[in-house]
Amino acid sequence: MSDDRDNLLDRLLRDDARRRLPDEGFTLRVGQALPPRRLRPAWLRPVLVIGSAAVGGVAAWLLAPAGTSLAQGYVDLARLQSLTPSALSALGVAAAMALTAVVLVVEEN
Amino acid sequence: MGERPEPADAQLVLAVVAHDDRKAFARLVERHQSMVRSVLRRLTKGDQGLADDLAQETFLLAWRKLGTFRFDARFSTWLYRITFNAWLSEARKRREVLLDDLDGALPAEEPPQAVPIEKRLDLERALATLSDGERAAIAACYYADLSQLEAAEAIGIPLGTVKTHILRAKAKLRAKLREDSR
Repeated sequence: MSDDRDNLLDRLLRDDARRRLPDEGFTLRVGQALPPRRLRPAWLRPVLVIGSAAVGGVAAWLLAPAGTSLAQGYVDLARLQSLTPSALSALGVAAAMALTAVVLVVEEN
Repeated sequence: MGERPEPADAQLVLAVVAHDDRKAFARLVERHQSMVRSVLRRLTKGDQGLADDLAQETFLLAWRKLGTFRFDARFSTWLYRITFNAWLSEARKRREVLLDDLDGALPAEEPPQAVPIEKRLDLERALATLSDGERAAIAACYYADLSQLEAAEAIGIPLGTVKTHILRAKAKLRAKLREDSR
């Protein structure tokens, strides 16, 4: 008896759950509430990343007088001598890398 | 030339994530709106306006989080989790929600001569009398068609509690329906 009632209730719940609700414009309303389409073309991301790296590289090259070594720049920075040409060159490279990372993070989000 | 087969949920998800394909997303909404809205109607005790607002919120959240969908679970299970959380956060704004509250005595088993439950059935009203946890378990296992284990994971309570909720909910429903049929 109790099993019968349990099956009956089970069937009742399943029948109610199977009843499909009519859409009544719901899908359309969701579609209209979606955020606007992404307008950026697919090529923009690589161009931004490569471009920012290139700009940073050129800046580093311009900041570094001829004959300076990047390794020497890091040594100077480690010795807290940040105004030597080599150190400025190393800072320029680091800035270029940081800029690239920022662009990547912004794009990712 | 036969008709094209309906794309699977996973294919539609991929189309949305890779190409911002809004038609594919509309297909997903169309396919799952009934489940999401039914579950929310049960969870909100039949408040259809609130249920539909939460359903819309659910799909917008799903749109934003679609990139995090891992294809190891069913899309409907993933969507149920978002649905449930949307309801939970709304319910918590209004009051305290107790999902694992097992207080309250089990209604006495109905006498053998009980009137058949098909008579004067008001399932919706009966479901509204359940506790939050019981309603959540019934909504997950029946209206979202999850297994009890999936329901436990989605709701965030132990499997044993889900089983107890289902047992208690059914006992209460039987009692309520019997009462209505008198």
